[in-house]
Order: sequence, then structure tokens, then C-alpha cells
Amino acid sequence: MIIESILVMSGLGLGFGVFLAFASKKYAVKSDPRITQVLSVLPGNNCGACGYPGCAGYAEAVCKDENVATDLCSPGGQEVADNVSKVVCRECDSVKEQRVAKLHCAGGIAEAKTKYNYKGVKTCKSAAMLAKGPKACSYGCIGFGDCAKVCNFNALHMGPLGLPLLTKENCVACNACVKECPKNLFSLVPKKSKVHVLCSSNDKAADVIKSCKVGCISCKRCEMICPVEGKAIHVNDNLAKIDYSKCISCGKCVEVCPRKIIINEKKKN
Amino acid sequence: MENLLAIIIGAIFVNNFILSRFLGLCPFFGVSKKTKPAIGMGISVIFVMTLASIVTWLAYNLILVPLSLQYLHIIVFILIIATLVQFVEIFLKKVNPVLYKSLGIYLPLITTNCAILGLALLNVQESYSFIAALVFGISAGIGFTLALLLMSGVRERLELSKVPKAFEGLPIAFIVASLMSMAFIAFSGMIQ
Repeated sequence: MIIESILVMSGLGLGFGVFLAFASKKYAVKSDPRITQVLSVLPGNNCGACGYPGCAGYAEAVCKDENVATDLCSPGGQEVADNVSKVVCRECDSVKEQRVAKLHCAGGIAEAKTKYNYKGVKTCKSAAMLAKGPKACSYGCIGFGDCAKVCNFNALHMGPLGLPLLTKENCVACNACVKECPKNLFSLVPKKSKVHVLCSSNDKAADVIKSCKVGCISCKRCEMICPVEGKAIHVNDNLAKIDYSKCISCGKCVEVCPRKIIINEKKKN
Repeated sequence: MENLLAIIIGAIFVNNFILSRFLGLCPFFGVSKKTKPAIGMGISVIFVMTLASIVTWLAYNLILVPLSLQYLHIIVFILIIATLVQFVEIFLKKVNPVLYKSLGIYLPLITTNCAILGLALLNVQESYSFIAALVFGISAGIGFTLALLLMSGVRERLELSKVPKAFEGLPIAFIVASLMSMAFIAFSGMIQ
């Protein structure tokens, strides 16, 4: 009895074991060994900044297709790009500048007037659907912090003034907040740039003055004073915008701006 | 034939694996948040249940009964189910990578699903013939999928409705499950 049961169990176990070993050999799927290697040098945030579904998706794409750049991982920066290039044996692409997210709005609770008292679901997305949001300025930050919720890197938090505050050190430029904001107030700016325009309103000057204390009134003083050849700041559609490829962060426009919406982070720190 | 029909109706409605026998409750709550993965899980369960039903029947009647080792059936069934799922995973990966990717994590999850073991044990308990065991396996899988699909539909709607704070998430899912289970008890008069 005991012998029989032991024999049956060990026989079955052995049989199944051999069967599985045989099956895994016979039906083995050949996969590119570089994929796991690339995956091991990637940071593993699965943030999607590269444009592929997670680090595994990028690793597969970069091994399969020669045209996929090796420097797409923005959280990893130069170091990861070098490692990826090493694994896939390709010339290292020069890494794009390190970038961080920037909110282009300065209209917090104190500065921007409100149109109505919003009492719905507390997300920017739903608030934005109701007459373009509760703020009098239809371009301004709604302030329910959808961006802070979507940030996986602990870089965005809602500040006391109704605007999200960015912790630069934590930001990896994953683009999540840029996509999330219903007002498209975020953009990725070069990390070393210090001068930013904190307004996104395309309204005319008169309307801006009515709705917000700190909106761009398109006076063009910043454009006039800009020392860069060809001007690094332009006023189009009633809004000043910095051309980050030209801007030298001299801070002259910051001084002349009558609305104080161009800021110089260098000075503040 | 009538007997088979009774097995089919019995496994899908009257003795539904989830709502009447309370087997396989883990995927019932884990994978019922959205309809799409629920369908994926359901199909994998139908697949594995049918296979497991066939193989365990063969093992029981061709190996264990002749050697009068019936008392080993639980451990043998577990061994068989684990091997089977492992093999199906290897096989699918090679033969149909698309299906493999869409089944994803659910396939290995089924290995430890008590509904499959329950099915094999019920086959023994009811001493079904081979055909009956096969039909029972398929219809039990369909019943599982039905319950999963109904639950995921309800939970998708629940996401949008106002639920008291204390009941949000799993608690309300438990309440829904018990209501659905009571509704399924109503089928019990159909088959003696």
C-alpha cells in the first residue's frame, strides 16, 4: 500500500517533470537576450516618457528597430543612454537636454478672480468642463491638483496658494502632468533655463486685467529689451513666450515686466 | 442526453461555481473591476477547466482506481492541474503569442484556483462518465465566466454611482455578490 502510493506519486511527479522539461525545450521561444540587458540598465520607473508602454516596451523597441534612439529615457539621462547604447552596440546619440516640467500660470487664489462657486467633483478635468472652469480667466490653473495626483515621482504638490509647486530635484520630465492638465498649462523646459513666463492667457489686455492680477497684457516691453539677436522672447496671440533655444537667462525682461509674470529663478534662490 | 442537459444547466445556473458553490472567489473579486479582463479571465478558466476535467478524469479512472489509491486523489489532482497550466503557458507562448499576451497573468493565477480543483473533485464525487466530465468542465467554465461578467458589469456601473463612503470599493462588491448569489439561488428549483 505505502510502496504503491509512493511509487505512483513519484512516478507521476517524475513523468510530469520530464514532460514539462521536454515541453519547455521544444516550445522554447527565442527572445533577444539584449532585451533583458537593456531592461536591467533602464531605471524601471515605467513612466512612459520615452513614448513606449513601460521600460519593457522601450527595451524591446530599441533592440528590434535600429531607428529607435537610445536616448529616449529622460529620467535616466546621459548615463542610461550610454548604457543602452553599449548594450545594443550603437553609436551613442547625444542626450537631449535635461528638462523639467513648468507650470505657466501664476494666478493663485489671491491673484485670479473667480467666475462662480464650483461645488462639483473636485478634479480639474470635471471643473474645466463647466464653463471652462471656475476661474474668471479661462486659461488659468483650476487648482484641484490633477497634476499632483498623476505625478509618480513625488515632484508635484498643491501649494497653499492654489497652485501646484514643483520639486525640481524629483522631476524626471515624464510628461505625465503635461498630458493631464486640462488647461495645458505645463510644458517641459530645459532644466538650466532660469527665466520663465508664468502666464498662458491669450485674452486681450483689457480682459486679462479684469480677471487676473498677474496675467500677460502683451505690452511687448520684454520683447523690446531682450538683448539676444532675433529676440528670445516674442509676444504672439497676446502672450509673451520664451524661445528656450535662444534665451540666455539674462533676466532683463524680468525687470521690465509690469505684471511681474516673468520670473527669474536664479535671483530668487 | 437529458442527463447532459441537466449537467449543463446545473453547472451554469443552479450550482454556479462562484455564486452557489463559492469556489474561485479570489478572481471573482480580483478581476471583476472591468469587463475586458473579466472576459480574458473567463476564457482562460473555460479552457483550463475543460482540459483539467479531461486529464483528471483519465488519471483517476485509469491510474488511481485500478491501484485502489483513491485517497491520493487530491494531491494527484493538484499536481496535474499545476503541470497542465504550466504546459498550456509554455505551449501558448510559442504557438499563439497574441492569445498568450492577452491572457497575461490570469493563466498562472488559475493554477492555484480552487474552482479547478473543486471541479476535479466533483467529477469524482458524482462519478461522472468521461463525456459527462467533459461537458461538466466546459459548462462550469461558462458558469464562472457568466458570474464574472455580470459582476464586472455591475462594478463598472458602481464606479459611477454614489456609494456611501464606508462602502466604497470592496465592501459594496461583497454586498453585490451576496445579492447576486441570492438571485442565483432562485434557479435551484429548476433541477432536482
